[in-house]
Amino acid sequence: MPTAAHLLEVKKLTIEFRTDAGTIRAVDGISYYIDEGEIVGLVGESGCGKSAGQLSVLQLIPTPPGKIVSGEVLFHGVDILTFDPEGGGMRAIRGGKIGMIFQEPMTSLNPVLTIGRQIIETLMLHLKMDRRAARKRAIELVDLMGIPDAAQRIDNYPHQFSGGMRQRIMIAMALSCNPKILVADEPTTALDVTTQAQILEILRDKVKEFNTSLLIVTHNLGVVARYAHRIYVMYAGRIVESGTAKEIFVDPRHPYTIGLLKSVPRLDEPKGRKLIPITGLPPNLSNMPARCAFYPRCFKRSDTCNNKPWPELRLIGGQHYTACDSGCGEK
Amino acid sequence: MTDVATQTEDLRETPLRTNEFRRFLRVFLSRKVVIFGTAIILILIITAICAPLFAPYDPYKQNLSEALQGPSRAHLLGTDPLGRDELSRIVYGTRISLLVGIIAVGVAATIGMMLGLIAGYFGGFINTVIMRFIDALMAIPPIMLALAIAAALGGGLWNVIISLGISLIPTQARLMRGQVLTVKQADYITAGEVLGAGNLRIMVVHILPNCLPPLIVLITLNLGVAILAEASLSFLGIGIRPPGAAWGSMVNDGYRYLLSNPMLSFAPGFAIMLVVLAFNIVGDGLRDALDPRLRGTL
Repeated sequence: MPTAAHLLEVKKLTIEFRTDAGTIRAVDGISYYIDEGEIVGLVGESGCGKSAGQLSVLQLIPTPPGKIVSGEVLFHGVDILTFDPEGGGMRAIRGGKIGMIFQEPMTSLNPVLTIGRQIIETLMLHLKMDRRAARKRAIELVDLMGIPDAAQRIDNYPHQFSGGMRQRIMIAMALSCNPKILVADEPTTALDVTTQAQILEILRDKVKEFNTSLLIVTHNLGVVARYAHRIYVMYAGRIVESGTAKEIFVDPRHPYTIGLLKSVPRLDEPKGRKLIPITGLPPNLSNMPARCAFYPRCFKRSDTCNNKPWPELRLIGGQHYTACDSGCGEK
Repeated sequence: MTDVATQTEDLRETPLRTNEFRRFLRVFLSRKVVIFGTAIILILIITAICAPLFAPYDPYKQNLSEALQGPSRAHLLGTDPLGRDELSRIVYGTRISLLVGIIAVGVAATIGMMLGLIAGYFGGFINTVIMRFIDALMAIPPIMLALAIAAALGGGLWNVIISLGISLIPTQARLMRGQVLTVKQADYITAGEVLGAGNLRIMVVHILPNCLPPLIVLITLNLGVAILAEASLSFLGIGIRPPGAAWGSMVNDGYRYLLSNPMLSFAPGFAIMLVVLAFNIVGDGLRDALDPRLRGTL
C-alpha cells in the first residue's frame, strides 16, 4: 500500500451505541482511505455500520447514545475528529469539503423552503457569494443535473418534484460548494430501477466534472460493480475484504463476499443458475463472540475458526485484503 | 400538432402554478361556519379600531337621570346604574377583550415557543430544567395563577395581560417541544447539518417553520381562552378596574339587576360568547386547512 497521504483516511474507527440491550459496537476498528478523484464503494447489509461510519466522519452521530470510541479521520492529513463538533472548523468541512447525500430524497429536503433557497443559502454560507450570484449559480447547478426550466423550477417547493428529481437536487446541493469528497449513502435505494441508473450516471459524470472523490455506501453490489474503482466489504461493523473492483468481483476470497456474489443474478452467467442465499441472519451486535462474526453462516467454517479471534485483514496480492484464514484466502 | 404542443405545455406548467397558500384558503373557506367565524372576528377587529365611530355615546359619561333604562330607540341596549349607554360600553369593551387576548397570547406564544424549541432541540439537562419549570407552571390552575399574580401586582389592564400571558406559556411550550422532537428526526435536518448549518440556523430556518401549523391552531384557540379568562378575572373584580369598559366586569355590574334589566348582563355575556366561539371556529378551520393528514379529506 502506498504510504503517500490520502485525501481522506479513516484509521481504526470504532463507534459504540448505548442501548437498553447493552453497548453495541456498530463499527469496530474500520480503516479505509479515499484518494483524489477516486470512486470507492462500501458494501454491506443493513445494520453493518456503513451509515454510522459515514456520519461519524462528519461528527454527526447523535451523542448520546452514539459515541466515537477511538480512531482517527485524517482529511488532508489533519485529524478532523479532534475538531469541536459544533465549531466553525467542523462546519466548514461539512458541506464545504465533504458533501453527503442520503437514501431518502423524499425527506432530505426541507418541505417549507423552496429548493432554490436551500441551495442559495448553502452557497452564501460557504462560498460567501452574494444573493444574486448565488441564485445564478444555483440555477446553473440545477440545470447541470438535467432538470428542465431550472430558472423557474428553483422557486418550487420539494413536494413539487419527483423522487429522482429531488435526488438530483440533493446532488446539486451537495456539489454546490465544490467539496473534495461526496459521500452518497444509499443514493438510489428509494428510487425505481430506471431512475437509479440515471442518478448513478449523473453522480459519476458530475464527480468527474467537479473533480470530486465519491464514496458510494450501498448494499447493492451491482451499483459498485459498475462505478467503483475500489471496494470495501463490511460485515458486522468490520471490513472483511477490500480491493479493486476487479479483484473483488473476479476473485472474491472472503466467504461473505463469495456468498454475496452468489446470491445476486449476473448477466454473464448461463441461464438457469440457482441463486444461493446466505443462510441465517446477521449477528446481534450487542453480544458478539470473539471469533469471526460470520462463522455461523460461513460455508467454509472449521473448528479452528471457532477457537481463534476474528482474523485481521491481510494482504493477498495487489491491493487485495481479506479477513479470513480458512484456507480460501491463498492465491 | 399544436394541440399536443399546448397540452405538453400545460402539463409542464401545472406543478409550477400549484400555490400552497391558495390551497390553504380554499380548504379553509370551504366550510360556511368558518367563513362565519372569520367574519365575526373581522367585524370585532374593525369595531375595536373604529370604536369612537360606532359607539353612539361616550362610554364613560355618567348621566344619573337616565340610569337603568330599558332598551329604547335612544339607548338600544338600555343604560347601566350610572346612566352610561350599554351599547357604547360593549363597543369599547371589544378593544379591551381583543387587546388582552392578542397581547397575552402573543407573549405566551413567543416565550412558550422559544422555550419549547430550546428544550426540544438541545434535550438533556436543558430540557429537564425547562420542562420541569413548565410542569410546575402547569400544576397551578390558570385562573388561580392569574389571581395570585393580580393579587401580588394589583389589578389593571397590564397586570391582567402579564398574568394571562404567563399562565398560557405551558401549553405552547409543551406542544412546541413535541413538534421539535418529531421534526428534529427528519432527514432534512441531518442534511442541513451535513451542509454545515449551525445550531441557530437549524433551529430557526429548518425546525421552527416546520413546527408551526399546530401551534397556529393552538394560538387561535388560546385567544378564546385568554378572552374568557380576562372576562372571568374582571367578573371577579381583579381584572380591569372601573370605569374601564370590560365585558366581564359589565356582567358583574349588571347581575344585581338581572330581573329588572336583564340586558345589562346578557348583552356583554353574549359578546363574550360570540368572540370565544368565533376564535374556536377559526381555530378548527385552521387545523383542518393546515394539518397535512387531513389533506384531501375536506
